[in-house]
Amino acid sequence: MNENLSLSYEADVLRVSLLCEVDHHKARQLREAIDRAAFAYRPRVLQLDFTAVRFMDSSGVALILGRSALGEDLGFCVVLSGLAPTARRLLRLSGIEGRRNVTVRP
Amino acid sequence: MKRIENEMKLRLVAKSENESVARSAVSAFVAVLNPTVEELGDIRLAVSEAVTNAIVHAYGGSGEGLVYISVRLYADREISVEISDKGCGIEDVERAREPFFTTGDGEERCGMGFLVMQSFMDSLSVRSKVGRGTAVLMRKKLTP
Repeated sequence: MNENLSLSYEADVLRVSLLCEVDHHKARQLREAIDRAAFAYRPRVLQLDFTAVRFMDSSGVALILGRSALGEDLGFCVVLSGLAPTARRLLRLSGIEGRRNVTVRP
Repeated sequence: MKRIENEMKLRLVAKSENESVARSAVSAFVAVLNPTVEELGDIRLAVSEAVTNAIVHAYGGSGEGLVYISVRLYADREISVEISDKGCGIEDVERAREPFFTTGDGEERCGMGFLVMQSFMDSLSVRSKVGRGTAVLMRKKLTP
């Protein structure tokens, strides 16, 4: 049981809903939980849903970049959804949207 | 010299759980000026980046040492936030400020801290002395 996120897996899609603020303090716990699930399920798509995230800083960008790199190794793409306007601006600044295996949903 | 309307000083132990405390405290203090949601989000983000830098880089994630936060509200709706530490200091500030520069300490980082502070606030200045510490001063003028 992890209060920071909820996970579900269906039809090759690992869906991760993030439920906490995404900063340096939380990033490691999130990363470890997501990577454990990614290794266990070997999905084709990792969907990270930020709908419940009230705050994200550049530690969140690093988390997404790291999962994108893992996706290149394990063969999944990363789909981001539910991002708040400030988080969207942060992602634009990072250039993450130009990565081949990352898609940002409106 | 501009007139200071209000001021808050805060010092926190350099523990990562205090990152959210720092941004919440600054955000609550600044909220009396009725900033827009976007402005408040920008300030929270910049504070989080600066405090994280102090915790992770200045004190090496040891959980020891203090992070000092000083917020000033001016009569013309400008705010200044200074975040300082007495940690290891930065050898080459110009290089550290380059976008995506990171020291690679084994954790996942993207080297965006200073870039975010600069982009989401109006101005950023960084003073640092090796072995003495670092002070980051950010300013932002809120819309009337």
